[in-house]
Amino acid sequence: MKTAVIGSESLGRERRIKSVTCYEGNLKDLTEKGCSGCLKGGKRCLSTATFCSHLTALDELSVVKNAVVVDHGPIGCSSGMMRWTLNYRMESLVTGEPFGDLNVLSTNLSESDTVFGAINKLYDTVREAYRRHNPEVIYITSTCMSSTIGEDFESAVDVLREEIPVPIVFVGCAGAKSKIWASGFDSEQHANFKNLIKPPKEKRNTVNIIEFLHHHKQYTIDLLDRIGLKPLFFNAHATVEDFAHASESIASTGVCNVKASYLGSALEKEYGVKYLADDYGMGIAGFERWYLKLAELTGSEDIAREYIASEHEKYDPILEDYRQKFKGVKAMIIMGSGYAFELVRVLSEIGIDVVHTNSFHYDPVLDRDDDKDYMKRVTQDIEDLPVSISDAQHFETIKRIEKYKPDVIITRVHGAQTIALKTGTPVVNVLAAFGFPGTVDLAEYIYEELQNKNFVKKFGEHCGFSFTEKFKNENDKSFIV
Amino acid sequence: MGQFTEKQGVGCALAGFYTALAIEKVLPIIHGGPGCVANAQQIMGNQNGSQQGVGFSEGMLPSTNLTDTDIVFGGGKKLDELIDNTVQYFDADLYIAIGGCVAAIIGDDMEEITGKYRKTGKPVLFTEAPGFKGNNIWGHTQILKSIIEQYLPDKREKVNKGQVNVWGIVPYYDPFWAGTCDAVEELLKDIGLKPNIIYGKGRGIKNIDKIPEAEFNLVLSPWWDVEIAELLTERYGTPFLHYPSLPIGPTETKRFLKVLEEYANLDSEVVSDYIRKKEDRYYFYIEKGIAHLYDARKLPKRFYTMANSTYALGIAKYFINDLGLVPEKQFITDGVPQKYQKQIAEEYKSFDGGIESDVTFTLDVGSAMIEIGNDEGKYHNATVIVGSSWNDVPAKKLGAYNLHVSAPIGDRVILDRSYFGFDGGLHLFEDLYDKVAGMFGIEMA
Ligand code: SF4
Repeated sequence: MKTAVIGSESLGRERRIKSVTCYEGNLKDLTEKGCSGCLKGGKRCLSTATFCSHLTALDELSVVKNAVVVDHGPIGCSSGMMRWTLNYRMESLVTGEPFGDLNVLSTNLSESDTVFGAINKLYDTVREAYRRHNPEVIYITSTCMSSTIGEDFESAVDVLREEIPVPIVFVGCAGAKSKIWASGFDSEQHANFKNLIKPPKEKRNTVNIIEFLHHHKQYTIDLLDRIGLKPLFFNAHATVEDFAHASESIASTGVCNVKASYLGSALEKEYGVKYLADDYGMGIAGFERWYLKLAELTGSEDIAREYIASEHEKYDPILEDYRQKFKGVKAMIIMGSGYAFELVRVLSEIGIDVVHTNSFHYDPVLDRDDDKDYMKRVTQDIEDLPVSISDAQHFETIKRIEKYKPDVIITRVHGAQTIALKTGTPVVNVLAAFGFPGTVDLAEYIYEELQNKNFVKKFGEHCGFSFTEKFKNENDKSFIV
Repeated sequence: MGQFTEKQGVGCALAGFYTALAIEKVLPIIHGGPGCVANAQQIMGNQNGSQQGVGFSEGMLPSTNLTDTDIVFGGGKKLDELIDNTVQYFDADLYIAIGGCVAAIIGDDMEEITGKYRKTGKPVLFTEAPGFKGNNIWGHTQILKSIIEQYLPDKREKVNKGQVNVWGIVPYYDPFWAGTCDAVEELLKDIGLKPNIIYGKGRGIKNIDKIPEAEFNLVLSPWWDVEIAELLTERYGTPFLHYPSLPIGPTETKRFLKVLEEYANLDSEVVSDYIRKKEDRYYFYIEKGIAHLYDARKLPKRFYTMANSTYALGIAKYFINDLGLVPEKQFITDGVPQKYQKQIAEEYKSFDGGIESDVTFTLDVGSAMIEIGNDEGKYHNATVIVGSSWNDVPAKKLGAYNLHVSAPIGDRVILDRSYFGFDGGLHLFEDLYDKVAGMFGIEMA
């Protein structure tokens, strides 16, 4: 059991499940070495800025309903909240939640605090957070600085709990804890599990849906309703009470294993809530498997099959049309590991060949004991696929684009988009590709993008990079030592 | 710095690396945590007018990405290796290693590490900019200081008559920086000066090299870069003119030009000609553009502000002196040091027509939002809130027009737009009344 929800905070992924951020080879080699534990992951002679597990945790905590986050650190560590706030507001419109901000306060640590500590600042800020927002839960997050100077969070939380009548939750999520930003999900879920999740009082026909901002909220509700289930959404818009009921659910599933594995596994281990880790509804085959697994929980496989058949009837001609349109189109994927491999299959379902997939990190195992072979199903038909693992080290990305010359790049975040554009290659941002409609959505987006490449072509001709001759002569493996 | 803040309108000191990015072919090398750049990016770049670095960009900035083991064993070796490889692979005119909180706490000796490279002729500078020491404006100042103190010569060899270095623009934090650099340059040329600006397209290291030769330095902000002008006086004896506001629109631009004319002993005919031409042009477009606005419509009259000092004051002057608006609660949110607050507060007491306003200095945008939100239902007519994307919740509450000019700005794409000068006034007029016209026939008619 890797998800040991003990101790005040979770371990970073590198240490807990031996995740790697540096690899170049093929899928077969990657998974074999990963599973037998000999995938150490190389090192690079060059490194560029990535992303912060602390920020990942802040984002995922601040979306909890009526929550306030008090970030115990210098101002910079929570200065970037506008990005997720905008996403949150946008998805709130779709999901019918009230328009609002994500509420994060910073204790604004200064130089003298590195010497004397600043626990009084933390008290003041938490009190003000409570007064200002009347929250249902207050999260206290650690940063590189507050954890390095050894702030005594445990005692602080004890003191504050005496005076403030809502849960005060400490989240150990200093950015320096891990190079892998997905470790922030673990930090946040560790804290929520320890503090908000309660032992079950009864079993209910709910399924925990562990994902981001619930873009497909209504669709998910409808799908589950058909087979006699109800969703409990985490973390966005989840109340403290929703967390308390998570253990009563019949199963957990999520948008991908990177996001859902820690909490899903912990709920399974502690309270026997089945974690459906194999599939999460991406593309056609992925959706079928996922939906049937859910239907099994209530013995409604027939209903699920019927629904899937009707979706086929509706969408097959459309998908076939795209397969014709995409004949000969080659794609490269640059995404987080939950998507980088699954998407290879999804793209094949709409007739697009993937020439290379790049994943921001790779988890050789999941947090469940029996998930050593979790990649088997994904890899079986595409073992020879060239893959690379890099945490947004885009000097390598450029080399790979030059080498594989894709017609289109499928990506989403972490800087790959504009770097790829500069190579003159069309870029499509994939958000979810959930089920039949999501797959068609993705296909249409790619199709539209390929209709007119004038912008990207001319942009690529005029805008570029400033590298030395030496860099130009290197190849994609040159930087791994 | 002391008190807690909520919903910041500033980044941390490390975010000052954007100042290096704004100078062509200058490459920041980050000595910090893996996420420090991303934190900065989400208030200074992407979510501030959809900006990114040109040539070198945030998605590919050399960074030591320090983690726990480095905190224990030190990060100096990592930085050394990174610089070594960076200078081999990235083609820059100047490299600046910038240290964040983690590097400062470990206590890595950046001076020694970068000094090694300078000895071999590679221009690698260093700046310590940990977030716990200050905000992004402080960080910006540290970057400029490093360039002046570590790269430029100690003494000035000659004075280039008419050359004026322009300061008071904090690139990227001010999302209009690039357009403003162009606009200021154009204006100064038009009135017979030789402007020297280091940020933006086609300037770069050759303009840095010219800094010591200036006849004088010009600071166009209530307080940004005053320290830099002082440093240049100390180092090269270059005098400076501090114009304590960014001139926006005809009234303030005219005042600025008169002050400049006197200070720099400019040909008064040239200046007067320029003013006449530009002012006529300004009112030509205003007259042409107000028909629909005044066609049986109620226009907003009162405005709130929660923005950085340069734009808060510059826009307040334009709104009050040229557009005839009336100030409501005014918040300045960029952490103005105590010593500059009095002078700024005085500016708020001397608008045309005897109009005065109080002004509150705070880093805590969250508290400003609450105070503005408290005015819900107070006024009959719709008001305007000038500020950042943090405006949106109070603006919705008050039913106010919502104008984003200060970081973070998540709903605008800002290319060469500038509010500086006569033409800048036109742009701001357009942006404000676009909002108003956009509501005709929808909610607030
Ligand atoms: S405050 Fe310090 S640790 Fe946080 S982002 Fe800024 S430099 Fe990095």
